[in-house]
Amino acid sequence: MADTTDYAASVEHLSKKMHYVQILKDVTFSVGKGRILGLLGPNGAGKTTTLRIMVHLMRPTSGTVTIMGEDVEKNFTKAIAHVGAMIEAPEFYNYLTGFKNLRLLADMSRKQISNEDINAVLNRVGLANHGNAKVKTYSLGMRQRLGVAQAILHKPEVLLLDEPINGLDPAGAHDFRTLMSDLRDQGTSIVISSHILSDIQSLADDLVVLQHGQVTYQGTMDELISHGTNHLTLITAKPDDTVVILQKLQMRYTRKADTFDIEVPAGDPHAFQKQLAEELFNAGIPVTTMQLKQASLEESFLALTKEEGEKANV
Amino acid sequence: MFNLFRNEWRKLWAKKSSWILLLIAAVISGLTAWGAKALNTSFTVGTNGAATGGSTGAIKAADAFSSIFSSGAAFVVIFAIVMTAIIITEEFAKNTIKILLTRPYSRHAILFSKLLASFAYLVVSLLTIYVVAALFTGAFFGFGGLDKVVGHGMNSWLYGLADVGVNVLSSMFYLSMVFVLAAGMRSQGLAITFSILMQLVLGIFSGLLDVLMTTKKWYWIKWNPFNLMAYNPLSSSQATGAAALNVWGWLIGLVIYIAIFYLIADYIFNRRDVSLS
Repeated sequence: MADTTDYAASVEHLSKKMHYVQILKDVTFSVGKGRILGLLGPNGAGKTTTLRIMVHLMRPTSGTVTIMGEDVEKNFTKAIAHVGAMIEAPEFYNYLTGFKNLRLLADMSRKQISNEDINAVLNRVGLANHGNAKVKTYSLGMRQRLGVAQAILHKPEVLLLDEPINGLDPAGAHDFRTLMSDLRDQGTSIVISSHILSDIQSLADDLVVLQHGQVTYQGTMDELISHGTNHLTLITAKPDDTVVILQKLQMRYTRKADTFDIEVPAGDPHAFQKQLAEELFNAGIPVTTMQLKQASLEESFLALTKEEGEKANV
Repeated sequence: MFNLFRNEWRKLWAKKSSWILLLIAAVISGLTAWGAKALNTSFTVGTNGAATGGSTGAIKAADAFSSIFSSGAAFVVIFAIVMTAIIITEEFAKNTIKILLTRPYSRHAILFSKLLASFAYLVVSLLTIYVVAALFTGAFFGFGGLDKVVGHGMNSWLYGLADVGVNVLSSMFYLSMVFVLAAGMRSQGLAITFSILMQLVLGIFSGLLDVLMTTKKWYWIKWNPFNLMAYNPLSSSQATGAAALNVWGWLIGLVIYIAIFYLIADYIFNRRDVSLS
């Protein structure tokens, strides 16, 4: 196993029991340096609890969290100095302006943060014109932006964001994705928890899926997508002859007039597409359309959670 | 640590309630001054048929100063208890504790900065009421006579400051107990209610222990925290003999109890999970 210093953050064998309920069970994953890890899972899966333990808002029943090589439990102040976090809905001092809230938090940083730096961050999250307004006048989306601002204010090496796109309008969500991509390019390691799969799909390099407090999947985006079933849309000039070929290849398919919807078997979908094209060509069947439709993250996620649910019910 | 204290101080005074409560204490001092003057005038006219003045006026100014300060200070203590309860529980109630505890400071440091801020609020408020009481005394009774010795070899100015000191120490004891309550609570209202109720109940409890000490001759009871809190080294009516406390015993006892209560609060605060909202 790789040393924890190889990763920006590592969670090892984390368990949490509250009021006799097992919230987390042996959760282990790592966040690579300069990568975005998506923490996926249905509501109540334990995503927020995991993030809370990662920033020491909660103590684990067992297990360890390491941030940039520092144990969060043993060396909290050193470990947390590397972290910017937004856990659940961001809350601020409503009686202060957005700028003053950030000023307070900047003064708690180990780094020197000037007023110009604060204004630059406000500008970056699209709150440049609202910095002097009291937070109690902010909309949900503006609070969310301020939440991101306070997390990136001290240029942390590790960002932990819990449902960061909640409440953002489409433009805000787009700005957020751009910001995250920029930060990743600058070497920041990011954990984003979300149940909005499309948000994760467009951002995350790696994925961890939590269900019932346990990791049910850990790997790259492509690997997860392979859990879903790909489909091939096929239209040929000789549909009846095509049926013979599909039966010969033992394919699962549905037919609507001249159009076939074929389930691509596990493995490389492009290799399958090539093999089918060759078979049709050899049988003298002209192909009008052959289009591979890869499973979306949502389909793959649902397939995975269904598998795990079936396993749990056995 | 200074940064944390400065932040707590800024937050405290950014709240309207901090100013309003202090203003209420000042208004109460003003009403006391006005009432004292009104009662004094009618009494003098009623008995002597002449206006006040001369040497008796100087004595009245010293008494008035003491009364005006005491009335305002009594409210400041209650308000400081309220603000202390708020300073911790509000962070949990409004979930701002999350952004506070995810900074590179230990929970010990964060709680201690809050303790310092609440003590500082108490000191500043009492000193403000001291100045307000002096101004009202001057306005209604004149400043003449405030430089005369009134007790313990001190004039009214020094005696008033000593009174501020006694109030600060006794109230710090209360505040450290409020910290224990607030460190484990989420509800602001509950913490404030418990804290104020505690102040009332402790007075009764202290009286009961006093009776027990006298009747059973259990003089070690004098070291109970409630007796220490009720002790006032400036007062002439104190227990004598084996039940008596001296200034140093009182001072050291209070510091020890404040430390014990603070350590309990610190333990609770450190062990506390910031659970799901």
